Amino acid sequence: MPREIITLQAGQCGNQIGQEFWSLLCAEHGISPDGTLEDFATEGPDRKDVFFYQADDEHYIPRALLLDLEPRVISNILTSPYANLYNPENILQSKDGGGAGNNWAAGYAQAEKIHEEIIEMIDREADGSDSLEGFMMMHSIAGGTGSGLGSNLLETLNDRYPKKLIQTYSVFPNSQETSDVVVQPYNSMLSLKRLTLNADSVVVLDNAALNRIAADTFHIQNPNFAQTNQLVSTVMSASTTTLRYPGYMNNDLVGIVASLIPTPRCHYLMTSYTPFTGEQVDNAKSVRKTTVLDVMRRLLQPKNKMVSTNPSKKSCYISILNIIQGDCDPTDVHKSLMRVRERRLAQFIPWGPASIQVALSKKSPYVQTAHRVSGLMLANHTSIGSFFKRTCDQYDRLRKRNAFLEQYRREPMFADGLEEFDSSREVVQELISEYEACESPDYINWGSQ
Amino acid sequence: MYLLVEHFFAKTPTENGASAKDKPAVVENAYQYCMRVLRSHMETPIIPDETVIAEKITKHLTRREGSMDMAMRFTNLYQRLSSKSVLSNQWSSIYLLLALSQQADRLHGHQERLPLAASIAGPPVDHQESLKPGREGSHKHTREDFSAGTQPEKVARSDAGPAISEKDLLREVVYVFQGIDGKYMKYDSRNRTFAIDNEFQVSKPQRQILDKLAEMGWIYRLITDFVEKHKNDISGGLIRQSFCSALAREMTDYYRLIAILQSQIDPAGDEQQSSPLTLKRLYVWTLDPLKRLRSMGIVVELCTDLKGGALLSLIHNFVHHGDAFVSQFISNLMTEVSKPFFQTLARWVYEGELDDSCDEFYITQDSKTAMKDFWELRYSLREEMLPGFLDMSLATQIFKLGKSLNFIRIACKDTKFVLSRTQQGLRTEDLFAFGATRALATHVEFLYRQTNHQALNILVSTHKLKEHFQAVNKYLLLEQGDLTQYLVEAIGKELCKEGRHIYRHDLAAALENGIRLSNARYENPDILRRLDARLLETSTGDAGWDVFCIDYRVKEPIDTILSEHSMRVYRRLSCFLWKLKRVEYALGSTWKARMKLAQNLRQTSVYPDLQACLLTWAQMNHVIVQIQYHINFEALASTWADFCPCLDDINEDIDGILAKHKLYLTTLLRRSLLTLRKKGRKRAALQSIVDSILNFQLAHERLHRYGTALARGDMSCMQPDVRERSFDLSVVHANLPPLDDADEDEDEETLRSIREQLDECRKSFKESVDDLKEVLVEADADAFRGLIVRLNFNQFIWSGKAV
Repeated sequence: MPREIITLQAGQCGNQIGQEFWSLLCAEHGISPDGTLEDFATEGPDRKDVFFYQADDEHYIPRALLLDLEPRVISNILTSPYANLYNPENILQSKDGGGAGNNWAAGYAQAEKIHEEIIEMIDREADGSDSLEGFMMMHSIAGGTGSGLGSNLLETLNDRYPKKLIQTYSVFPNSQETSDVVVQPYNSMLSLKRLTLNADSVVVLDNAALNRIAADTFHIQNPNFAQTNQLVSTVMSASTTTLRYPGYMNNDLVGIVASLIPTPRCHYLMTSYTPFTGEQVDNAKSVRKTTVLDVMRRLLQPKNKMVSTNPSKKSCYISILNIIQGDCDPTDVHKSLMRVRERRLAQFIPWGPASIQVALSKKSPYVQTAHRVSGLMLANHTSIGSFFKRTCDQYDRLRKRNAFLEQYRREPMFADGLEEFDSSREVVQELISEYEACESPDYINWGSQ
Repeated sequence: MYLLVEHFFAKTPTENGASAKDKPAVVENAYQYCMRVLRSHMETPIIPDETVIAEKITKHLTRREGSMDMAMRFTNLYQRLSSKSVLSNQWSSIYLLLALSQQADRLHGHQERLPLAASIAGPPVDHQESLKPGREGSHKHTREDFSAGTQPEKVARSDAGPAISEKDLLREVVYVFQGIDGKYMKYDSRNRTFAIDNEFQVSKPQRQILDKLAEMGWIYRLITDFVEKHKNDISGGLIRQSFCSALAREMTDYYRLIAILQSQIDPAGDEQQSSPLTLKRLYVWTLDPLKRLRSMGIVVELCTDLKGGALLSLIHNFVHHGDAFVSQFISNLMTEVSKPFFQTLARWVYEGELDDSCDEFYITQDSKTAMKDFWELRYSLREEMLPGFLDMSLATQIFKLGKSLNFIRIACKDTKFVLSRTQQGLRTEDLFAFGATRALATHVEFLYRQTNHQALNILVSTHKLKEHFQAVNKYLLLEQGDLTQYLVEAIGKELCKEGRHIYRHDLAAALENGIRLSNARYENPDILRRLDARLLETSTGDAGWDVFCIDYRVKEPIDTILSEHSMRVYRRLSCFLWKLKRVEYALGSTWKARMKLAQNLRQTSVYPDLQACLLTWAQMNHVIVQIQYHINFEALASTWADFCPCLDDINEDIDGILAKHKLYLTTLLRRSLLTLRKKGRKRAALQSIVDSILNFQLAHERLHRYGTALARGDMSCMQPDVRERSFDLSVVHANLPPLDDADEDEDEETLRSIREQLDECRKSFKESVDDLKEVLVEADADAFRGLIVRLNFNQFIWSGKAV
């Protein structure tokens, strides 16, 4: 009973990340780009069936739905060596191919139109699994499809599969630079409401931080999408290793999520990963010294976090899970924990017990790496509130001028008014205050005011 | 001269216990001695310097008598003497005095003298003493010499009976030597010695020599009796038989001696010609044979009930005799006697055969032993049968060598293995003989290495010992996480029932399914066949969860290492880990529902209560997860990492692995918290945590139902998604209250009661967590420091309290 996870890739960014993720997963499981199992990988310690299933001809097929409202990215995938990996029935391209035009409302509205088709695809995949654990969605919240169609998907899933876990890997726009998509604060705000209310766990990937890390790793001024996407896929693969390589603990996603997220809304997780080297990311500079302590220490450094936040003095961790892969001595974990505590490298919440969880995970035997140990941190940190605050500021600036609202009014949701904007803004504001409340011991009484 | 002596003796303090009565005799002796000294013309080894002698006397007095006064007095006297010219040879006079005083010491010191024959009959310690040529012996000789020398012509004072010629006496003695009563000397069974009747007139010195010589006869009888009695007695064992034959061989030499003596007494049958042999000469000639006889005699006397190794040990005791002669003799004897032992030993060492029909080897076997106990119980050491020349470590190694050979042959059914016997520069005959223990040790080491290597090789390579250990880790200690997860879900509900209502075949079927659906399906089928779902002995009221575990069946020869006992420990651990998994699962699987329900009731008045509940959940989750991490790393992974290398170490042996495995299990048990409980409590510390968590779940469920009803009633805060859902803990918790359709009254009273229930659960949880800390610190603060730090990482759980 594999605790299957169905992956949903929405929009340009979602599909690009997805493609990277699947090629990495294939490499790790010894599955060739056409889905056949490599000879060396027939009896591994890995659970391939969490993310793949076997077709009648023994081919491995990803439990993935590829959804987009314009054909460009998916066409690229279908001309790549991975063209035959996916189940063609799981690929949905909009018939008119017009796309959502960076408009959340357009994406949402078009999703409504193809609602039946999407539901049929999801149901088919869900029925094909023995004990579905949940859904993993990859998207960006800045554009039109990933945000709009993605939001619609979240609502659908939450309604249709209320007992299944919904996790998203959401790429947030670069809030520090002006973007070519001027309405991205609107799209972000509308998406954030769905992420807050309809998702169980959101892994926040900040484009600004991704660019910074990629630039630092590759020594280039302006990294391209392919390079940042490699970072994202590495993080995604690492965060699912414990699910794919069974061990004593952390064999299901809900267990991991449950220990990271204590209250329903504060479910935004940041990640950091170290070391990025040539194996995951081409031309990366190598990091030589990798002990467990070293990895844990680096994971806590702000520069390695894939979200740019402005932590205040009161900011603290609600929870941390470090997934350490590679050749490491279990006794090192204890020593490293002691050291981290001695040095007060991580500040924790004042209203409940918290600690750094460390999971040791097996590593794919088929992917050789130069470093001894690598690590991923999944953390629930209150400073994420400051990140949302920036989004709100940008949104407020646009909204004050009522700029660029015409295209939204053209869509059904906003035909009668812009309340949805305000409601979203309210939900996000509430989220920010809840994160702030998390920094005080009074959080235990939160909600009674 | 006599007066002088008497005078000196009168002044000498009688401290050595010589009573007043003895004094005349002593004085007489001293007088005789003086005369002898005076008569003798021997050169003194001392330079005739009177000052030197005087100093010597002074020293003697200070040291021996311990009296400075006496020394002072002597110096004074000596000065007066040297100043006078009355005595012409002062030096000689002083020397005489010194010689006399030294002789007096000897006379006083060793009055009592036991005849050896009598001492032989005494307790064993004395026998050894008497053989040891210590001071006593040498003094005796001195005195014998003295008595023999001083009164050679003197006629014995007893005047009864006829005198016996020396030749007759010699003849008599030769008879006695053969244990036969002579004309005059008869065996006195009361004193167990040959004695010449007092009625015969024999001079005192002659009598004394005869007494000495008579001892030979007595010992001879002792030995021949023993040999007669035991040479054909098979029950006494081969070693004793060999001992008898060695004795008999020695006796042949003795007979030869007697023959020679006989021919000396009557040379060429000529009666008239005087024999060259005298009693004294005879005495001297027979000194060595007597020692030999004595040595044998002692052994014979002591060994009456001993056999086998014990007999060897006894004889071996005399090998380290201070007297080189005795030591050499016993060694030779030992070489002969130990032959059968070494034959048995060689067979054991090379073939593992225990060829011990007489039950005298130091290793015994119990062929009725079950195969699983082969290693532990089949063979055992009998220390009382361990010959003294094999030290314990060598004996143990030899024991293990043969045991390993049998283990390979019988338990592992590998009959092809043959020891390579040859080792450069060593011949088997030389090795398996007395006195070659060191070489034997090296050889045994050489053989043992081969055997042990083979035994381990069979266990590790042929029978895949390591794979079995890994299987235990995977399935009993839940490392195969996907299977664990399947089973928790599949049989969780079943296990909530009472143990006796659970059917094992249901569990077995679920296990089989789980194997098929998890990665366990890639496992070696042989290992999968050994897996079984099992319920430990149930007592009434035990739920399935309390007794469920996975079992692993091991067969010989693997059950030597993974013994019945250790499997019991593994099963206990397995059962315990399952219980923890159940709570972990309960916490994880209800998370989504908890979150969802809290979201739905966000606008209701019970939200603060729900929020508090969620945070309590987070605490519980934290505690359980951290305990699980502790068990995962500190208990399972670390101890395994310590233990595992010994399975690949070719220098390890089976006993070493067994010892390490035992240590591994003890550490596992201790670190896994399984056995921890607070003093005076029956329940394990963790159990109460687990219970309080499951109870809290019930209270939370109640709160939620109350909230939902409230929301449904209050249309104004109707949420878009107030759909009824529950935590659905039924998978792991049977004691859910009956789902009464009628909701509880939505009044303050109900809410208060729910809050009380929640608080109570929180309190009991907090208490049990505090108890846990107490127990951890009490048990082993160092070993559990890691867990304490993990639990209290941000100093919340045990706020501020220093650990």
